[in-house]
Amino acid sequence: MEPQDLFERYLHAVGEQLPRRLREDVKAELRSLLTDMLEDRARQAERAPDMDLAVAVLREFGEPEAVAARYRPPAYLIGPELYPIFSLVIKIVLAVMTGFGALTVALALWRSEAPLAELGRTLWELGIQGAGLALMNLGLLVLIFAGLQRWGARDSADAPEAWNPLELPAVEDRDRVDRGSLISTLCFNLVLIVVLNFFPSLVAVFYLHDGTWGRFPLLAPEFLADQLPWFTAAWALEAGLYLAVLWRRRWTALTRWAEFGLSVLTGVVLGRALMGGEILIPAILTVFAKGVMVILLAVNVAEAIGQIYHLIGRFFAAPPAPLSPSHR
Amino acid sequence: MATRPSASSAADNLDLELRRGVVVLAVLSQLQTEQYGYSLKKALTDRGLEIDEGTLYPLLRRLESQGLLQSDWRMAEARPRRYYVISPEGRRVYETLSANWRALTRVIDELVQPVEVTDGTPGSV
Repeated sequence: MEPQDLFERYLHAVGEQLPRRLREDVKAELRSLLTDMLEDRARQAERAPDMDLAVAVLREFGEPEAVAARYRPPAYLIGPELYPIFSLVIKIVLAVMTGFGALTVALALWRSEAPLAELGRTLWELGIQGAGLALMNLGLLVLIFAGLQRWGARDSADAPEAWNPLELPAVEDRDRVDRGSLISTLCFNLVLIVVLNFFPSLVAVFYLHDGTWGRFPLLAPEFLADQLPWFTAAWALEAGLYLAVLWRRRWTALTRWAEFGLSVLTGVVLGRALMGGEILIPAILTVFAKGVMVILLAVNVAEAIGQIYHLIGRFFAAPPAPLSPSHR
Repeated sequence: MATRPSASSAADNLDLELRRGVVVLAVLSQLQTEQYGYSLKKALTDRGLEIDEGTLYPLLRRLESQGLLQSDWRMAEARPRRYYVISPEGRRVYETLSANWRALTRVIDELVQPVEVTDGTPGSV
């Protein structure tokens, strides 16, 4: 084999990895450069160009993949400008899926009357379905963002000039304890537990008849017997968690996970009450109460999604740097 | 967990970045008269600036696509060669870059004055 034949193999290997519009031009230029190098090396070695010199020249030039890569314009599936948004969307989607997944599993556990082995199989199937759904969503997101990268990514040179640094949002310290909010929720929960469990007859419509006070109880006996213990457990656990947080003076990863677990439990309790019997009497009030519970459940699901989103972010985040004096 | 590069490999990478920044200026300086790729590389090497082929030749094409160089294929020694020369736009850019480079080197020379350590105490000179 002659040196030029080896060069042609090399040029073919480089050309295979170049865009078609560049290929022949780059190959022609490389052919010329390689020949110049070979002739120069032969002159220095005071001998005719041969295979050893050709091999040395190609080694110096570099592997075909590396050479082709230097001639190609930079190409990203998802570039550095879009990646932060992609990462944010992935976290939101994962949080939503985890939130709904946890609720689904909790409801499946609650409603299942099947033996334990059957329950295990159901959970396994739910897990497989969830993993498949997560992969499908991730793939879809990658496709969407790759499309945005290719056809819609904004050039950094087009960044708006009207950017105002004074509009930057304040830094949020998510682990700082809002004592007022925690204490008021804690008191409210304790009042609910005490009143509904020990003085349920106080939840009533009071009326004056012939100079004496009468009352018409509002809470349905069915609710007091079947649902109230679960609400009580959820409120008590929430009160316990808030007490622990107030004592620690700061939210931690553990208490945030406990908060998420409580949100799931609250969702299950609300869902159970929605699917259960009467809450208030007369029946028309139960319709109203269940309407309120639907809203509460929606808020609860949104909160759970937000909580798992931040927990996933916390999991992947680097350890926090020491706070600057203004943040202490 | 990401592994930290060794001090010598970090120094190599930083040196590469430093050279990458000045190679455009070096190339434009040598293309006031037309040259083909290999003769340009030899010219730079002879003056003490080693640039590997993988950096130099793609750079020539990039500068041409930016309008700073012009090129044409010509027959020389019985085979085609691509000759590059600075364009009028490239000349204007070169003048600006040269002025910036001279100002920058003055400042950097001041900044990288060797520090004289007298007693080994951190911070003392």
